[in-house]
Amino acid sequence: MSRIIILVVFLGFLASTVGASEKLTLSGHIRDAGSSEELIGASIQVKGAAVGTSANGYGFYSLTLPPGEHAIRYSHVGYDTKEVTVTLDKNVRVDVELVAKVLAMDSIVVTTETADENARSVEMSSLNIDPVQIRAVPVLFGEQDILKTIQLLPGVQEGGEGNSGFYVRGGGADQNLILLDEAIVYSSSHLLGFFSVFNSDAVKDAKLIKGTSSAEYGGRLSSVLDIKMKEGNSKRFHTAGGIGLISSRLAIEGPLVRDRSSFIISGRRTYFDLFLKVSSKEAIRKSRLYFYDLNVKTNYRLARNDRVFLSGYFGKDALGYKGEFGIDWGNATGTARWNHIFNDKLFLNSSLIYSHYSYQVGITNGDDLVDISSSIEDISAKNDFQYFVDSKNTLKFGLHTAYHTFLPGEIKSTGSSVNELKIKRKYALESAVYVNHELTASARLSFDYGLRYSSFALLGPGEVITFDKDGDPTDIKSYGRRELIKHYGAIEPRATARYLLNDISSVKISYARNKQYLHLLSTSTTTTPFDVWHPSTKIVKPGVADQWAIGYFRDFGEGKYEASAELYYKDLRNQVDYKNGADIYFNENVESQLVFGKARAYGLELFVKKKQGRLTGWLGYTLSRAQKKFDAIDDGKWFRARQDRRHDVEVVGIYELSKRWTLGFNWVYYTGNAVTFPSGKYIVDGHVINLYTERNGYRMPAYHRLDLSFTRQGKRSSWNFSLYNAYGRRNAYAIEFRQSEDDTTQTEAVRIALFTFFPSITFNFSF
Amino acid sequence: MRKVMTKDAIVRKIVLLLLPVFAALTGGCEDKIQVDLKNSEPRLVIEGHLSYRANESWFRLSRTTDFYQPNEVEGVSGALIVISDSGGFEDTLVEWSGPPGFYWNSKARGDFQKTYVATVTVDDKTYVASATMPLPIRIDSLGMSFQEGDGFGPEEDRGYRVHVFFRDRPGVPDYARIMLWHNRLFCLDYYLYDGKFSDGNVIDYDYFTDVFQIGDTVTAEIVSMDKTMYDYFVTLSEVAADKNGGTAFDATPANPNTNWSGEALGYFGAFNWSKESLIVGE
Repeated sequence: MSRIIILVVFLGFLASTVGASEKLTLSGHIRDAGSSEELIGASIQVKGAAVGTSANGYGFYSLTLPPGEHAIRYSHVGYDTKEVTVTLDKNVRVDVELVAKVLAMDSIVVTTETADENARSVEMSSLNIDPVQIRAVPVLFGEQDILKTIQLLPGVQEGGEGNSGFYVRGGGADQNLILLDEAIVYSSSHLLGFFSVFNSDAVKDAKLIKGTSSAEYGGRLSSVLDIKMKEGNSKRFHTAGGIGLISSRLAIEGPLVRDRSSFIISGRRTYFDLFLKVSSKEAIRKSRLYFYDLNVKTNYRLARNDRVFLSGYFGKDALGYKGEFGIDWGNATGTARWNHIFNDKLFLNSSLIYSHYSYQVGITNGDDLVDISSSIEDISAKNDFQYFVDSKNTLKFGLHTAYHTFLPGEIKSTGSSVNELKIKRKYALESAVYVNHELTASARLSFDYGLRYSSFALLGPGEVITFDKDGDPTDIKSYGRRELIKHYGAIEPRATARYLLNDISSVKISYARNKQYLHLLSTSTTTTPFDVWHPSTKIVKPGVADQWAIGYFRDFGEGKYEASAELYYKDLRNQVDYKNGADIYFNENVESQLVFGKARAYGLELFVKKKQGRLTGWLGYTLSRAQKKFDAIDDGKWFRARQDRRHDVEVVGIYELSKRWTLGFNWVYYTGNAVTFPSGKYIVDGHVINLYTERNGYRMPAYHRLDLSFTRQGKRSSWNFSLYNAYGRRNAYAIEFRQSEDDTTQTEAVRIALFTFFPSITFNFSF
Repeated sequence: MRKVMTKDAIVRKIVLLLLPVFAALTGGCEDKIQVDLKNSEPRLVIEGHLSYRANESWFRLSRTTDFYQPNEVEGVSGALIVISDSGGFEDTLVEWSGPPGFYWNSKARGDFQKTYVATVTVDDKTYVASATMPLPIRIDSLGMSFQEGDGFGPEEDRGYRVHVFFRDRPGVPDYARIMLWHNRLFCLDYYLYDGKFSDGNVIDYDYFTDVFQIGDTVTAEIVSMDKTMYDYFVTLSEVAADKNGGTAFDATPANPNTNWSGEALGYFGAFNWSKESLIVGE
């Protein structure tokens, strides 16, 4: 580890000496003129020169230039470009406010960057999503949802019909690093997966990285979804809300101290439990069924160079029957941040982060109460530096550390009906140190490369259980408090190179290695609230992924269109699967239920996007394969992963019909998921039993669906009408192979289809 | 008497709560479709049943068929079936004269806590499995409770719910299956009991989906078995084609965990049981 630190210091020194002489620095923040929200990723270009930069996650930029007069263009998606003439005779601080384009729909829906940045950027396999601009994309239940929009991008698949879980480039559903203001969100869905926990009203920006990420990210094998919450309008009070089929929302934001401090509070709650109240059945009247989300954030500018932020998220799902039996689950996250600008070139963000996910099951039986709970809790600290060395070099380096506490399962009881059980807590310290260098080597060639050293220490108190091949415990070894049970460490290199073929097209190539030290245990085909996070141990080794990608990027039509083609190959090791009939809930010997193997995924992604005009939207196509290999499954042969799909097509469009009316549509088509169907049957114990011969040897029928939405924009309000599955295709959610109800001497295949035509209506307002 | 939650009961409750919510949300609809399925080579299925009493042990041998064939059992004749234990006991079953595939003899039985090995030879191939005869679990009594039928799931119908009372044996991992007959008609659902969280407790088991009316006859039986057999029933109940499955909460389906060596399907189990009946009265 010390070697890495030396390397960081050395690189920093090296970069700072590169042409640092006779240059001055222009720096500052870029903000929205209406709300003073910082504009993440806004572009800063020197007019007439191929020199520029972009604003960081806090809207800060720094650009080192020769002395003299420069015309600087500040631009951002959906904003009018501003040109400022700057005289550099000393280091200058220029804060710029950009004005949002008047016509909301005349803008980009999902964006990589502005104008020709698609080709110029050194990033590949990544996309930004602005929640304001996806409003017209039709969604199930009319609930705007970033996770659902992400699923309409090439390389990203939904976790099931209407499910907010997702798979990226053939990776598992637990291999996505989902961050909300830097805090890990362990369970990103509500109500059995149909809604994500991200209330669009509170979200400022979301960035999805499907491939090589900067070295500041780590801990998951397949993707990064970095979501940042709004800071709150620091100029005036603003209220926005909506009433939908399922839930209603309200967000209030405004200044606390003008130009120094602002806040935002945003809430959402479902109200279908109101319908339960009118039921004629008492048991249903006494039942509970709801979820809510609450996002709060505030910030304060201490001085020109210091700013603090405090943000939090609380969400909960509740399901209860007759007051006798209930399940509650939810996340809580909190982030305290300090931004400090040391000088025009060195920026620090320092954060303290809390994250918690838990579920509880409560059962009452007369006087007895049984309470089952499970949780994961993180306390983390992060220090991230950005050093804008000059116009050709940017360094990022930092140190992250997180202390995880796992409560795999606990059963408590008052009254003596159930014997108490407590599966011992597990503790782990996960740390990382990284350095990342963005280098403009020549007018055509740029690099973004970095190293991350990650370390994972499983700490006592705890027990290590050894199992024989039948899964029976053979040996137990106990460890004391803070005693090291097992340590893993690894260097994770990443690199992306971009070569500009001409002004509007480029070739990019990237490689990344990632490690994952936490594993989600789930035997069901979708995520459930009862899935438990499990640390790497002596038996469960950390997952490793290597990913290579190469792509061609092009902007055309004077910046109206952009297109890309990417090929990727991903190799995953130490993957977890389950023995047949695995018992993973409240099982202290859960590790005996697991089997280990490897996986690989490769594919081609094509993407064309129209960013301006009355019609905006994109076309995506993915040709891919995802396979797994486990010694304990199908005699160690390669088999298809469930998320293996050959073809995947998405068409998303937003068309401005008139000043008031906007039409949104999307159409998806994909090859059915790989599934296990019977290849025969037999009779045992009086039951007809299906015979299975290979894992995931069949496919579901091809899936396709069209969704439509109409939005009527008023002065202070809008109506959204949407229709999910507009031509009512009966897409198979599941196929059951069972005894016929009409003729018990026969078995038959029965298709279960969900959501054939699902209309919804949402009213939004703001004042 | 206290009602005891077993792990199976907890999981059953959770699923029964989630399913109607899921169905209400999604408005799922069902229809019959034709799916092209591969055909597979017929495989041997062995059901081996060793009783704690004489006259009640039997084996049944059959083969798998294609999915779209009728549900008929094609018995396998001419098998050599031997049951033995490590103490030198050995017994051969004989084929029954009725429909093919049944094997039986009047003497074969198992002693408590003894392990038995079954060896089946068919077409020059030999299959081996072993099973341990568990200690018995006795039904203390049967009980009834009235429900208004104002809930959903198992509480949907008005009538009487059955309670089976028994004591989990302290210090012993108990595994059992509870079987229920409604006016002599067998209720096909699997009700399995794993005493993990209720060791030594008095159990009030009432998770049956059937609701009874006055005058109905209830018969319940607790069949105790070893862990291997219990695991077989757990994995069997997950894929039984005559019950509803295929929900999002289910795991990837797989063949039940058989204890037969070789490519045979099915089980060899050693069972003992305790049975009680009751007529539902006022």
